[in-house]
Amino acid sequence: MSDDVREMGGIRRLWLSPRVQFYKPEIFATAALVALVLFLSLYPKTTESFINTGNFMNVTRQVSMNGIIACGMTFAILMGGIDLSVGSVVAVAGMIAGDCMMRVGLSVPVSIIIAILGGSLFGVFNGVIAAYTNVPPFIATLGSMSIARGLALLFRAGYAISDLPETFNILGQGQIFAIPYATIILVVMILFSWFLLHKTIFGRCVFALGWSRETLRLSGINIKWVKVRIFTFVGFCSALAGVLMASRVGSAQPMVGAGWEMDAIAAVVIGGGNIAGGRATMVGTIIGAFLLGFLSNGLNLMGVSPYLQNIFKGIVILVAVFLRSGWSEKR
Amino acid sequence: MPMSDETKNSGNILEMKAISKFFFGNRALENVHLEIKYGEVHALIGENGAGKSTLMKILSGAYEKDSGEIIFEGNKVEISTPQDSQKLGVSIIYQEFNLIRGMSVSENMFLGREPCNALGLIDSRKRNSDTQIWLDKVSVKFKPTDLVQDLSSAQAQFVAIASALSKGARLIVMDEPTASLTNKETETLFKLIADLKEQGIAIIFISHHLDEIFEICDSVTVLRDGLYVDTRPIADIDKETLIRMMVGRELSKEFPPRLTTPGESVLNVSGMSRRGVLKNIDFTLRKGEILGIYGLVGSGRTEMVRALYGADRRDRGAGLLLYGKPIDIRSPREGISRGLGFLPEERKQQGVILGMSVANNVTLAAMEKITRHAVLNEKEELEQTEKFVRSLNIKTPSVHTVVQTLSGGNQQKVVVAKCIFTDASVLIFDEPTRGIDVGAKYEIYLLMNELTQLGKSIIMISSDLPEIIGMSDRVLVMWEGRLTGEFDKAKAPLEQESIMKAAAGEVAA
Repeated sequence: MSDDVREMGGIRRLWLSPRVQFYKPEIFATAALVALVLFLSLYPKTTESFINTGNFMNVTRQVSMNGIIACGMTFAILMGGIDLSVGSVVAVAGMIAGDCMMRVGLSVPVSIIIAILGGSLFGVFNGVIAAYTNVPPFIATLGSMSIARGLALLFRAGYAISDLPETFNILGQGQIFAIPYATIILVVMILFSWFLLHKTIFGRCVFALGWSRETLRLSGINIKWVKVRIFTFVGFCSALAGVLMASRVGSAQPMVGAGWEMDAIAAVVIGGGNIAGGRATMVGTIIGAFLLGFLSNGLNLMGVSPYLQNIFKGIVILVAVFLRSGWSEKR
Repeated sequence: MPMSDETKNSGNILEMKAISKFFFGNRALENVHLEIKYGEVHALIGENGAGKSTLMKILSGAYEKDSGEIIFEGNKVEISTPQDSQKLGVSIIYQEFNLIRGMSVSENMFLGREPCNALGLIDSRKRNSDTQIWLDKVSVKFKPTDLVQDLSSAQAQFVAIASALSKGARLIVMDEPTASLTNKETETLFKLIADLKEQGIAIIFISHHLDEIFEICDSVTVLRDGLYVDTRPIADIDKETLIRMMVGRELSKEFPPRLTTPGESVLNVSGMSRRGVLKNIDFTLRKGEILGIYGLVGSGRTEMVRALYGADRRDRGAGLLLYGKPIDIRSPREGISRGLGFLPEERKQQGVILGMSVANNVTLAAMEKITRHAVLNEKEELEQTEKFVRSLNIKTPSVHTVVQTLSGGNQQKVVVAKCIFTDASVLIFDEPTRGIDVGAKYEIYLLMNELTQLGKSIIMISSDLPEIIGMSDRVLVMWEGRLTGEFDKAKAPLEQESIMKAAAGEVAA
């Protein structure tokens, strides 16, 4: 193009620096996490029990399940959806694993694989409804939340499957070089999710879907298939968390995981995720999950009652999201 | 309206003097003046980013000015909230009319100030009859009880105007009022504007369509880059001068000359229909050609190209030949794989992903090209994007910049780059220059010329007749889902009149 043309188009205009509009919301969450850890380290009552490797590893173990589910939830929220069924899928996956081992008599690895496949199937189900019908994900997963819970209860008419084999329980209870296996699995899942989100076509599509379905569709992307894969991934994460949970307590319980969807959603939004879609990051989500984990650990060490803990958790969620989004428009 | 106040001053209803506004040190407006007389239609023009919207937002109380003063009907006023401006009698009609779609016309008009009976309950009978009075003033046919969602966008605009009048508006600002109107609706609107003028109501008219400004405005104020350029009576000025004032330099021509001559046939469409929308569309697109498609809103132009691209369903039996070979396109994915590229009408909702970077947008439709073993190769993505930023002259701080922060023209270039990145040989541009300022428009035209020189073919939909005539080698005209005319520049010069006739449904002989 010739120079005069360039000048003609080069109408002097102000463009906003990208920093102005898209600052990193995780910064707030990181600051809050650092502040919390510092506080717990310095607070006289907790300082000794808080600062030791054992306790830190314990927190990572506690966080692992919510962290893994939150990995999946990040994808669902990024696309502008949500998955309420995660807690029930946790229970179903645990029950499937328990049933396979204790009643059918399958080996531990095979049972785990079947449990994870079974849980993922719920994800497929959610994804198909979200992709092929006009039922919004909120409602679709509200339905499957109830269905999955019912199935979990059906396995043993509401009873738990206990005395799971030691070789299975080691997954949730054991450790290597003082690092719990659960923590290792969490780290692997974080890295895997990050890779999916930032290094694959699928990840780009998840992000783009939260901004504009139509742009994505006109760009030749099969958005139905993207949705199915997103919810399948959420189901996979929940099922994995369910297996971990069963092995950690050594028994598969049908009512486990109730309300866990809220913790996963909280982790994502504390980390900067926007429920409207298009904005959420893996780093933010993990910081959010750890913030919640350290909060509950610290309050436990201080001897704060669990009822009060819920109130604190609620306040943290509200303050974290408020700090990022601020007041509604003035006037 | 009583005009007694007029004696108080020089006949100006509004004077905005030396208005300045800075955002984080960036100039949005500096020392800008605006004077509006009673009962005049005053055009406020300038390129995108010139400061028109900021000035109007200061007038409406949405922004506060940094300095300057506002004099309304002879009195110095402070406008710091939208309520302040409403009390004065200033009403702004935005492009999205701020109406609640699920409510009736009268519910919208009296929202928050419903007439009540003795018990304090809403008196809907009175509300409807009051509404009718105002609707009569703007002479429309729909009823106070009609739902806003059932109205056309022109009708919704009339509701907004009637609503402004009912609130005692003395000065009405219309922001791009004709953007979504058909020619006929525009005419009706202009008639209404003339009526309002007669009643002594002043109107600030913001538009990119210079022809409209010459048609209905009395005077014009031009802004450029946040600075005041000049105010002139419309009679003292011509289009070229106006454009020069807007862009600040000579624009020799609105359209660059076409340099390519169309070659062999590339795409052949026959018998393409879609029940209730398209009827038996036949046409041929040639190599290096710009094929203009003209038609009024609702003529099926967009539907036609979307069906071709695979974005919408079409009926069985259509024949598509690409370089003489029969093909089928059932989805945008197939469209892209056959070499079609689509630049949609709604840039922000359908063209780009606003929250993603320039690079991610450019590669969006062909991500497999930068993928090795299922992993995105970001280095290659950036290199490819850099090339487009240079060759299309996309003005962006970097390829990582989020597209949302770019101007409309540069966003559009990103969409063009996205189409080219898929190696498309047939480019479908739906309203490529809508909402883009004059300078950027010219660049898009040059780009289209360059693409055809490279052997690509372009189908261009436009509502802007001069643009169709200026850029097309051949023009197809649509009316009610059918082709009603074909005009070839090689055979006879393109004429506005015959194209308009075909667009109104008169089949060319």
